[in-house]
Amino acid sequence: MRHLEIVLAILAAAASSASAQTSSLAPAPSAEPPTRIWRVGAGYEALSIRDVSRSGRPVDASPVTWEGRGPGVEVQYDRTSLRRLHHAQFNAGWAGGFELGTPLRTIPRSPAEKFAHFDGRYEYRRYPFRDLGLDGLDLGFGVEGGAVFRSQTQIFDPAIEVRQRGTDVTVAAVVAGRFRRWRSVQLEIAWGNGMAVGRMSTRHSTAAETDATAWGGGWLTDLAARADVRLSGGIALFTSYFTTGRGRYQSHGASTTGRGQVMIGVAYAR
Amino acid sequence: MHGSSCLLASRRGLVRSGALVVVAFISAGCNAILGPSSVDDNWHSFDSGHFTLYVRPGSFAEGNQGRLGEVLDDQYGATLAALNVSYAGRISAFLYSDAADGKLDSNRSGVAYAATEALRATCTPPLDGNLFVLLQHEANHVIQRNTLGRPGTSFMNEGLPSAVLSTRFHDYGKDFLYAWTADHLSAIPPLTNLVDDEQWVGSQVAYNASASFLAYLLEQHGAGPIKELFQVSSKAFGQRIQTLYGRSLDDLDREWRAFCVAHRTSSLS
Repeated sequence: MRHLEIVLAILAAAASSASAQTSSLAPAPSAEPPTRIWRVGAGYEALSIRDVSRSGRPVDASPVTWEGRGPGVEVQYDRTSLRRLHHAQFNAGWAGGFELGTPLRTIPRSPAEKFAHFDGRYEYRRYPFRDLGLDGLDLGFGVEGGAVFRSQTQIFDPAIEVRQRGTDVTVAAVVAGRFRRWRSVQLEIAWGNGMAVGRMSTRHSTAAETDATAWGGGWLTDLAARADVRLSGGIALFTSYFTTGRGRYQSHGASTTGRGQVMIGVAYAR
Repeated sequence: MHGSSCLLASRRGLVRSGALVVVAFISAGCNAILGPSSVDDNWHSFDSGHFTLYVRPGSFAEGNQGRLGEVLDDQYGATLAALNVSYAGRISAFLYSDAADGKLDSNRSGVAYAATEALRATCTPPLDGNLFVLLQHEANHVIQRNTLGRPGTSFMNEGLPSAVLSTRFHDYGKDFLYAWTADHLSAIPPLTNLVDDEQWVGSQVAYNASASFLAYLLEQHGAGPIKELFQVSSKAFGQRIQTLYGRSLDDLDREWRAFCVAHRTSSLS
């Protein structure tokens, strides 16, 4: 519900400056070459992880959450027309300031605890349903492939360091909505669900086998919303909100991860 | 002509409707189905030496939080001593009024979450050894995993927490496990089956047998080899046993059973 509120706030803020014509950031008509758009942004992201003891329904996750926050950056490239979109994206984020969140209190953790991720993904999307009830409201479907590298370090008192590094390959089906009615503003929202498979290595400072590696699989649900607000010519500001829920299962270890990020940046269309 | 365009229009409508149904279905999302549920805040909390107990207001657990904290703190120290490990994390223990309250399997059921230093368990009357064993076992999961790493087998994961139970507040320690083993020799599968995760069934026999065997190894050979064995997978288990103890798993299986029978005989006499 909180995510929905943030998405609506972004969309409402963007819509308030809209006028009623097509923008230069809008996808090119079919007869013309596709529009190319680059976006570079930076922002803030929050991370939460809960370990899971039973992954079947009802999912049995810890009542305590490992939570951190920090800066993030993203670079996007779109090649878009009325009918289709090629979307490539790179994200990176670094979280620190971790604490354990319980229902009644938060417990500060070691400043040495940290998390970083580097995500790359590509999506091919088609918009078979255009002007759906409203001029400029399109519905599209896409498939997405990606790779995620992540590194996390936890410290347990007195001085136990558990460092995990892993790479996942992901595939997802995407449902997207686009609103391109106005000259200066374009809105887009995408919802993806899919699966992941990957490998994780764990370095545990006090374990007999300090390095252990395991394969695992999991699921993902991504929600992305973005508003492009044209400044002049092909230059625009954009703001985006992205949230993802992910589950990861491997032998004798499972967890769910939630990550939300808000980005602001510049877009250039040509 | 008019008829075929109507037909096309209705087909388009059908396709669009179908697509919207698919969209509605997908929009439930993996996260809604497989993601964790939210946690309620209807708790009172009490701190013991090493634990924060979260109990339901007015519950049996709240009425006995002092003794429960005492039992858990005692186990905490006993585990560190038995395994010769250092750990100083504070564990959050969520004690539910019954199985339905905690969405757990039974009124004597619990789970542990090492990465977030937490456990959940039912806490129902009576205040006896069975309840203490449950809480001690789950607390040991957290301590063992954070000090020894990720377990390689269910045999280790479920056996070791019960192999190091403190008997200050009950009698369900290693002597109980040895006697139980002597009484259930025919029901206990060969250890080669128990250490194989593909054959692990998680029954009470499997829990007790693995705990009994690991308590025996600890008593006879100390904590060092057990720590080396903790992360070993089923596939490599037999070979590693041979390396660490100088004999096969089958040989150790026979010696352990004979020890348990002799232990019971000497206890009775």
